[in-house]
Amino acid sequence: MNAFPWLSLLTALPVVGAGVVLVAGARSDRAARFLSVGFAVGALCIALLLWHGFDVNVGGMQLVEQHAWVPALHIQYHLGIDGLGLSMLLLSAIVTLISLGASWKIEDRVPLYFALILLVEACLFGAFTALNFIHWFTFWELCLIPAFFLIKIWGGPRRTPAATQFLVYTMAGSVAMLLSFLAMYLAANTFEFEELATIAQSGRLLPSLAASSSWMHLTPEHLGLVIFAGVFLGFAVKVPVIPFHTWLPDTYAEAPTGTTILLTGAMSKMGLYGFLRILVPIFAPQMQSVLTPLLWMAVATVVLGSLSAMAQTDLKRIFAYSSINHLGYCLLGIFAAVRYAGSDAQLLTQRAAALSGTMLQMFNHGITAATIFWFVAILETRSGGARELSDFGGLRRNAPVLAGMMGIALFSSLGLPGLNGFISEFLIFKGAFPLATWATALCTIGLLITAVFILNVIQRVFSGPLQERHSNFLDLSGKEQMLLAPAIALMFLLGLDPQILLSHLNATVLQLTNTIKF
Amino acid sequence: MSTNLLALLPELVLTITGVLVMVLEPVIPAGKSRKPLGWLAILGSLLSGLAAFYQLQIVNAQGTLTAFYSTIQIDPFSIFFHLLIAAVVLVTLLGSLDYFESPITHAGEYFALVLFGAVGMMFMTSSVELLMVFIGLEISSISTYILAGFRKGRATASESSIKYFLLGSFATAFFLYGVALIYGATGSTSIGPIAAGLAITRTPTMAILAVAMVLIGLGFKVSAAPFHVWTPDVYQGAPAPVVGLMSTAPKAAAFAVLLRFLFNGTPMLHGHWILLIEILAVASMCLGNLGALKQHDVKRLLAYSSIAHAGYLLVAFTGTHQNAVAGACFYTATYAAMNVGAFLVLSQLSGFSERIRSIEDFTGLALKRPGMSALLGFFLLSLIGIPFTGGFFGKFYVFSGALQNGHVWLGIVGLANSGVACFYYLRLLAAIYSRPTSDSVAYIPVRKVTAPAAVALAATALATLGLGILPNKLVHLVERATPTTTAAVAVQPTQQ
Amino acid sequence: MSLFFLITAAIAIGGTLAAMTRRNPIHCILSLALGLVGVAGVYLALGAQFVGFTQILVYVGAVAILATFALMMTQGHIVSALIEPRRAFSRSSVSGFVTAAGVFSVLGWAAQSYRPLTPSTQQAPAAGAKEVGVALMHTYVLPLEVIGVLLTAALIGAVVIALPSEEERS
Repeated sequence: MNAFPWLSLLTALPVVGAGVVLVAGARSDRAARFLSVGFAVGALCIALLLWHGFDVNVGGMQLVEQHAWVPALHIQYHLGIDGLGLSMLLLSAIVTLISLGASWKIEDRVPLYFALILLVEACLFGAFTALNFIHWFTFWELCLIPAFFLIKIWGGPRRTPAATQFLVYTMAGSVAMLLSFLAMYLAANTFEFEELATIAQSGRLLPSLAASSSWMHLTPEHLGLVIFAGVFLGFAVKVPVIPFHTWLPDTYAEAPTGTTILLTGAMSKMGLYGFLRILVPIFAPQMQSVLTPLLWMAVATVVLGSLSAMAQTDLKRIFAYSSINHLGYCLLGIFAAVRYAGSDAQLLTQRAAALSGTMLQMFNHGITAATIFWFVAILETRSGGARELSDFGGLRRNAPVLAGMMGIALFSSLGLPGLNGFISEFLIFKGAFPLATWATALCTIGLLITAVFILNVIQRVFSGPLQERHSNFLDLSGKEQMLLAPAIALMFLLGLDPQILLSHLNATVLQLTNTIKF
Repeated sequence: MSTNLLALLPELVLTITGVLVMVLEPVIPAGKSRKPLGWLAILGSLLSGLAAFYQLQIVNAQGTLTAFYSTIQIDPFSIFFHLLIAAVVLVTLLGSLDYFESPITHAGEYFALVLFGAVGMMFMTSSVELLMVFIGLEISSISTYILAGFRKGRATASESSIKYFLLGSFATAFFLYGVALIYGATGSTSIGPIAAGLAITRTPTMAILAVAMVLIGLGFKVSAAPFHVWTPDVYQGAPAPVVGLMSTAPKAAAFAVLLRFLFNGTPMLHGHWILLIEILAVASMCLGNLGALKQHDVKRLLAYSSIAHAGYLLVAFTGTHQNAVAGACFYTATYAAMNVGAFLVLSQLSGFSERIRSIEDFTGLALKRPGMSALLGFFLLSLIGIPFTGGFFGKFYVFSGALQNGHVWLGIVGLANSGVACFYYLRLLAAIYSRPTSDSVAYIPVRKVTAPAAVALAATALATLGLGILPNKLVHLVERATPTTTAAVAVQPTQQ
Repeated sequence: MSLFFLITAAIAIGGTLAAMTRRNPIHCILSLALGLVGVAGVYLALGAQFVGFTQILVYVGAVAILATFALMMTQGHIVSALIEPRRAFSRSSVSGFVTAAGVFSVLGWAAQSYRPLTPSTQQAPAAGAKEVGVALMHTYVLPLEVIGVLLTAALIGAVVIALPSEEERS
């Protein structure tokens, strides 16, 4: 299946879908909903097909498509996936479906809404497959536009500042990143991620950077740090890393829940993907030289994220901060992996554990967070828009199935063994502990606090006295159960047999592990 | 065809069409629609574009053409700008065909002025003789002064026209003074001999002063800060299609003159004028974007945005010769596409009366005019510089040129500015996609977009999109557009 | 610096200064004409007879007189009443003078430090009517022709400004 441009097809399908939904859905909202789900299922099928045809023994890029785009500027249309890209494609396809499911009750300008969701999906596919900076950056930026409109048009009461804040923050990060890549382009004359990584690993990037942009008489090392800082800023805002997170709670809270699912489930992974695809292969030495502050940032992201989640009373805000906290573990894994140079067997094993844990956590968090926000959407619809913890209570009595299923999702988020969250967090901690002991130890505080606030949510929502206005609160219907069941099943599946995913990630992790040498 | 005629072909076509429009104007009875004249003008601009294209074929085969005792030089550089100007004029004419509520007098004069103005701009780009450039500049300026005040009887229109006229003449005087001084310093007003004269002069003080004067004069024309104060008032009062024209085509011509004059005429003084360019660029970007932040009137907002874009364009000048020309040409083209498009949408929305002005008036526009809103949104995104639009590649090209030549600070300031610019474009965009308030949108008439306007809108949108997705063709053209001076050095003014 | 140059320069500067400061527009125009005569004198002193006489013919003879008639025949008295008396040391005039002084001192410095390329052994080319005519029909024939377009555009502009549109007429 190598000759066929599967990846281009995958990216184009949702775009076509968006067009079809806009045109055909103009007459009937119902048609728009079903059509968009049809296209999203189609994309998922292609992603599964890719999964099936993927050669698990190859660590490099597969299904590569490469064409000249703007030869004068060394811009290429260059696509390809490795294990990381593949898992992100699959995640995006699944999260989009969850998002569509959670958005079923949208009534205002339905075709436009569903078309925009499909556009976000297309941009995600584009960003997770692109291997040329400009090509990738195009989708990275473009992703913001449909997301901006989704928040702006269908968001909560404070949607306008939230949408603007979201876009401006991310743009500011992107601008810094663009500058850094321009500098690297001028030094290395290429925008190819792989070529840049090769040049950086051979130690030629810094001297040519110093030769091409001798800025403010900086030494090559310092110049390298400045360039790294620009790229880091772009990704740090997107993930987000504390202290670059201030846009996130407002955005997640004001966005319609379907969009929040996309933002947390898939778009936040773009930042982490950037860390793994770009920062680690190209900037490992720079990361190592400022590792202490980076590790502190990871610790802050984990601990402060969970503490802030505990302080919230709005369900969406709680899970927004919880999202920050969970992605903090990924940061810990990545930063710990670049702690020591060298390639003795033990170090490689620990590093590989941390990195595969990180990739696994990216996937798991995507599924779990998306599902939790889906449940939040269900609670919101049934209670007429209420999201405060104090609005609920005792729902277990009326809606036992809802309570049970949401409980599973929450426990997965908490990291209960047997569910998917446990495996990835365990792997990260296992790998990171010998590499960055103090930071890992501090991060365990985050685990505790997460347990506290998640149990608190379960208790406040499902136990206690039932509020009067919820006296006829409906349990999940059979249809809803059927829709939610696959997501829950996936949590069990990945929790009990993580090898399904790890087998596809292994070769990629090994290759990445070996690139960290300086 | 003789070289002289061939070199003037696009200008000749436009002039003849303009004269024809004026001759036929009295034939059409008073009170009748002037649309046929508009169609004639459209045909003329189309033919002139084709003529420029024909020139390109000739130049590709035979190399640079010079004509009229080396006052005119036809090379890929000038042909690029000829094509651009012809395209902008064509789109503006298409868009303004139904703009004037009939029966409006002076519609014939409007079409003729647009054409004559284009002649002046074209001469500015193809001439290597500064006196000729000055005459071209005057033609284009006088036409735009009048066009800016075309909505007569409205206070803002008169203010717009008078302000533009007074400050504009002041600026051309500066330009002329600069030309006189450069003549004093080098003994010539022709680009080639100027460079040759500067190469052997020992005291370039006067020449530096001359370059500064020329920069001031052209800085006014491209509305670069600190010579930008007229821009918001004039744009606010002028009719929307005219603003689309005057914010792009004359600026493109003035930038072409600057490129030729600075890089080919005064390369010896590079170290001096690069500093001035940097100051102008930083001031334009910062003042333009900061000024736009607090605007409520959409046309004023876009006026400040155009000041900022002039700044981005000036950043291109800090690259090496070839990078500067390529970057500036590319940026001019993308800016022309998106800005003309944005003003076309404005003129379609508000019509001749321009009842909707402020950002608040645009609240909820998307519900009433979804197509127009999407177009305007697209142009705004391109002005921000989002990938997949021409604006992104334009900025990318310009800033990579500046960085390559070591102007890192300029790159940082520029990109930081495009971040700031996000805010005000988004404010407008957010208003368009908000839920309508009770009294917004009410003014906006739901009227059908006429076929010519639709063609114009489609052309600008496609150009903006095309430059963002497949910029290759244009990159090729501008990469080899760097003008040379060889042809102009040979001939000195003779007396026989 | 000859005495003749000093006198004509003084006339030119004095005339234009008066044109700026007088309140009555008629006086302004007449003093401007005087200033233009002074400039023509400078041209004559430099040996550019053709340019000098053209200056007098066109600017003093035609433009200034036309402007005077235009003012007298229309609403000159209203204009003079509208102009507010201005203090000599208002902020705008002071800043204007400072800017002008700056520009001219730089100019003067530039002229002072200026060394001609070839010391003036060569006779400056004559600038008589014949030479100007030859140059206009030869090197500068295109600019001369294109000025026609400029004048056409200006004429159309004048028509647009002067003729009331139908909207205004009704």
